[in-house]
Amino acid sequence: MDKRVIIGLVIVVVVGVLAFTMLRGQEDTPPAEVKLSQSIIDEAIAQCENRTTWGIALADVRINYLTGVDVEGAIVLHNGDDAERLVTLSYEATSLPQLDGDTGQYYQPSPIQASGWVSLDTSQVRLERMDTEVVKIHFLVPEGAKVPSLWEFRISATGVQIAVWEDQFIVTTGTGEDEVVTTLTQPLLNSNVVAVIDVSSELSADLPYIKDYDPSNRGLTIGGLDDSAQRLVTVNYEYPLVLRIAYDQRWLIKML
Amino acid sequence: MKKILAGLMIAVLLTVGLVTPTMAATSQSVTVTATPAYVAIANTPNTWTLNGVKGDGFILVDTIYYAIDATGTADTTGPGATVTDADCRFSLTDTSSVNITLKVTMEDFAGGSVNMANSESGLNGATSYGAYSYYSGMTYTAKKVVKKVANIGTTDVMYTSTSPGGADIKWAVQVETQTDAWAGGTASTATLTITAAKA
Repeated sequence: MDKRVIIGLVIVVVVGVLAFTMLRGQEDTPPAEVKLSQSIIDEAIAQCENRTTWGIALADVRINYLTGVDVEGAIVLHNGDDAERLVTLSYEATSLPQLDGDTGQYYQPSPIQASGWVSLDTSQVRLERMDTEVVKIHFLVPEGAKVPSLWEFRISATGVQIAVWEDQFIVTTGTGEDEVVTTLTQPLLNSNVVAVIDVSSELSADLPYIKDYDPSNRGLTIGGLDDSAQRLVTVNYEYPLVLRIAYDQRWLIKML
Repeated sequence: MKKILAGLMIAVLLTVGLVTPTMAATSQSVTVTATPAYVAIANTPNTWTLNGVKGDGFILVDTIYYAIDATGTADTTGPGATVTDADCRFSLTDTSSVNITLKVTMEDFAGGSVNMANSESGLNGATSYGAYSYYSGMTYTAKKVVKKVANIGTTDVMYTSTSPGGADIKWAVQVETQTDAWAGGTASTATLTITAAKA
């Protein structure tokens, strides 16, 4: 072979190897963050118009993924129902391989550590009638983590329908007593005293207020009562209906 | 010169061959997308009192209570070989734009003196109840064990729709009360959850 051909080949191969190395360098530097496109979120929000049920508008999130990349996805919540809903969001591991109906492929259960790789902007949303809310969800698998090539986790959205109840109690305070414990008919929403809308007494000497709530026995402690008296006390409060509708949003991960 | 050019072309082709697959796997391949499909169901009614459809709402130990429809026979009468509408208290309307699966979960009873725990096996025992879910039209013996929501991952799917919006069904649960005596007479409540997901 001609010397000049050999020299030419050597030069070009060297240049090629340099180019290859540079591009490998780019591959090893994945983007710091990847976001779900706003147009997809907008399309999901548009699907909520005129819906008269409580539901979610992004059925699944699919990620082609490299470890070390912060992915921002979202769940779109809509309450077309007549009643207000308190929606609780949480990470949910899968424990069996799950079929993806779109591709026919099975996605392996979530690695145990995966709960620490998912964070929600908020874990509870109160939806008024016809409200639509977008909650951002971040997902980051640390570099070096061992994960299956196809795996899945879920975001659970449980909607509690909020209703209002009124209880009336005839309560008596003894000498030097200014509080009583009553048993509510319904559990207090979220087991939180902020769910008490109002408390009133027929005695003008009383200035009733809610002091405490014990969810184990629905015990509501009412303070601010005049001592040595009997009266009718009325409590209006929010409570959750016992039958709840929940949705699981699937996050299908394909490792690159 | 021709030979040099030929050598250069061969080398360039080789280099491109080496580099192209690498480019396909660069950072631009990291993608996140989603299906803008609506998953939604409605259910009615949203309450159930054990032995409260035809009965007086008071319950006995070691007894199975069925969430029957108002047209059903009795709270303690279960479905025959095939579950019928009269066997099912709950009506579910599916307004999803995709096929869905449905799972039923139920928590421990709390807040009173009948605080039975869900055994998550379908069987009752001391201080624990067993529960199953089923829907109208299915073979009753194929009913599914009702677990707690924390174990929804291993809870069997009760129903899978075969067309979008195709899960308009009547469904129910049965609860077999604990085998030992109650601690008192104050009513307890337990949360019942039906969970839908894209199939």
